[in-house]
Amino acid sequence: MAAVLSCVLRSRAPTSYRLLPACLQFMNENALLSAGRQASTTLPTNRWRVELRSFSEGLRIVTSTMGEADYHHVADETLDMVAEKLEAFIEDREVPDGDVEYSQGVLTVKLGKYGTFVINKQTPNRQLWLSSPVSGPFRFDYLDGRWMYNRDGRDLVQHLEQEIGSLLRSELQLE
Amino acid sequence: MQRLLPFAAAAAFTSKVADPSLPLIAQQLGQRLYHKNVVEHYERPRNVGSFDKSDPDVGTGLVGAPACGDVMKLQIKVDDQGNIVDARFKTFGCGSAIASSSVATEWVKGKSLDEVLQIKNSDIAKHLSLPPVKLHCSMLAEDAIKAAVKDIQAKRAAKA
Repeated sequence: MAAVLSCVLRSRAPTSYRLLPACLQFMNENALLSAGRQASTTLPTNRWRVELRSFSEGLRIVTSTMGEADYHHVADETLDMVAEKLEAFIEDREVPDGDVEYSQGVLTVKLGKYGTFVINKQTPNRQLWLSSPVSGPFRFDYLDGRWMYNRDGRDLVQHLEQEIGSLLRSELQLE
Repeated sequence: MQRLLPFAAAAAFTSKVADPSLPLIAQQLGQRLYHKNVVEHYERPRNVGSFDKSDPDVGTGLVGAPACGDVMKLQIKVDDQGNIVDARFKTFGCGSAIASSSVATEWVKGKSLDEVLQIKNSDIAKHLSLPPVKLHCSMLAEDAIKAAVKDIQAKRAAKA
């Protein structure tokens, strides 16, 4: 355990990863190792990041090896597109108290009385997280050019089109 | 700003929708304050602690990732009839995550393993009036319950 901790503290990992020792203390080391597969102290920093990310994702272990730059590229592309289209849609349909705000990787879509959708980037997991007032929270992974929910395979963009479209009783095309 | 806090507190406790008659700052403050249930669970969390992981009657659910800022460990003690007699949790995360897992331990006590699998994240979120960004915390709590149940079932199956 001490070797693992010292490896983390000595690493050039960003501060968020250095907070690990606090939670490592109460987590059983075996659980950490089994969830993260082999946490070897000789691995370079960015590989260690990948191992840690493979914690239980729901009940499945999901490890993403997408590079951070690639992730930002595709995530930003998707969010920009969704933000633009939704802004136009809301203006067009004149949704009362409708508002779209996109900053710092968080897209907030207010639809007045219908509720608020929030889509945000979750960089450590290479995921996009959606919070829907209709169906709750989802986490989407990037697979083959689409953002997919690993439990039932739904697509982020299609899901948004369907939900927002049915809430406002008007067809929505996001791509 | 100090003078507005009572208005903001009242706004937070009485409604989730901004009251247009309140000054704008109070509206925004009111919407950002935690619901009193969350504050209650955060300041007086129920069932904090842990059981012995190797105990054959204990199921452990460990979910989340430190890199995301949320890790939950939920443990249940199950009797021979498959009823949960006790639960403990330890959570590393935001106030909403702590409150969600605290609520989860309260709700699983006294229920059978099949019943607790019916606990939905939407119930937890509704009980705590979680804002949209914090719905993910309630989902994690639901996952923790499912993971703990899965663990105890695996232990029991291995023993049989």
